[in-house]
Amino acid sequence: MNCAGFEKLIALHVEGDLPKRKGRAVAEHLKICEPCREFAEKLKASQALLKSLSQESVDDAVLEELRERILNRLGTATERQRFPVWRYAVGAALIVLVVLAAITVRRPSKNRVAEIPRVTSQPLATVAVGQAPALPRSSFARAAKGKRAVHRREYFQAPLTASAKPRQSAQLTVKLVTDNPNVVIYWLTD
Amino acid sequence: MEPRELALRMTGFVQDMAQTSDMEESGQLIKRAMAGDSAAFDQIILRYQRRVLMTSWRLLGSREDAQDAAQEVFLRLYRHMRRFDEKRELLPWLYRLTVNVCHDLRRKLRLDAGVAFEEANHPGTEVDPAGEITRIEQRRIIEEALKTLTEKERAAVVLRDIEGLSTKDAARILGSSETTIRSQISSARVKIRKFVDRLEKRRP
Repeated sequence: MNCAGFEKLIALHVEGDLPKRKGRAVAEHLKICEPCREFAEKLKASQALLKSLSQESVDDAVLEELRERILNRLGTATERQRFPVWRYAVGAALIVLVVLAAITVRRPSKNRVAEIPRVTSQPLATVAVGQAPALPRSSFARAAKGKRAVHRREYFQAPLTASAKPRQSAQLTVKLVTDNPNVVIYWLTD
Repeated sequence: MEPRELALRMTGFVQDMAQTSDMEESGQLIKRAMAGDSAAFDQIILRYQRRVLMTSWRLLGSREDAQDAAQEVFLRLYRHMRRFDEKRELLPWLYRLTVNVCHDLRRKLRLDAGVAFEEANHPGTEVDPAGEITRIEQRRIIEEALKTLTEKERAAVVLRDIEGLSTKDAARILGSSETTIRSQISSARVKIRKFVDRLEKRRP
């Protein structure tokens, strides 16, 4: 190995950073090589200077200023942590929700009252047993023929079939006539 | 047993005891700080701020930047202290934080690793009439020499030679192998020596 190759090894050797065997080899080389010995001495001097940086002190005022800065920032951070922004957002959202809910609950009741047609003081009631009037093909009539109506009927009839001979069912139809000739209300019951 | 060997063993024992005690104390301080005890965190600042500031200073080469970095180190410590393992020492963790923060700051400031030495950077450089370099100037030269190193070389040499850590600890903090750190350290030492040589040759 030439002297240039020793440079980096010497840099480690002067601080005892080499493994023993390599360290011994470098020491042997230094005994016979004047320029490397000189380089090693210079390295020791620059290393001493480098290490002397660790002895440098810093003004207490600088440290105090730094501490103040950190504590101030931490104070702000802690405050933020104590009252995080998301809590304000959640609070605001809750308030908006409550207000919206209050508005929604009130509005439909008013509308319903307005939409219900006025019924005459003495409505005409027609009672027919076993026969249903020819209903207009309204959504109400369709619903009565639908599955739900059938299920409901079965449900109410079940105890009867279990206990005694079932009566012939009689259908009661109530017809309500309102002021408005276009609005006729039929009430069908079994 | 030789008296010297006994003294060395005693020194080692005392150092181990001090290290254990320091570890316990910092563990306790962190525990209290996590529980919301701000006085405990203040104690941590008081105990480590000098070291964090000086290390940042060596890594960045500027006191103002070092102050910013040190501040950020303690803020990060505060934010992440729940990750701290009480069985370990706080100081290596702080060193790692410091190195990382300085790296981030350097990137932010776009500091080039190979800043050339400039005479203008030596407002306090004084040469005595005999032509000898004063100690203050020598230190300043070393500081400037540090600036010629790459970021990794500088971190390795600062931890090993200035902070006095072992190569093993420096490697652990920097997340490299001991061989890599040893290579960076030797390269850095040679560069520093050659930088000083060049300056001395330029002197009248």
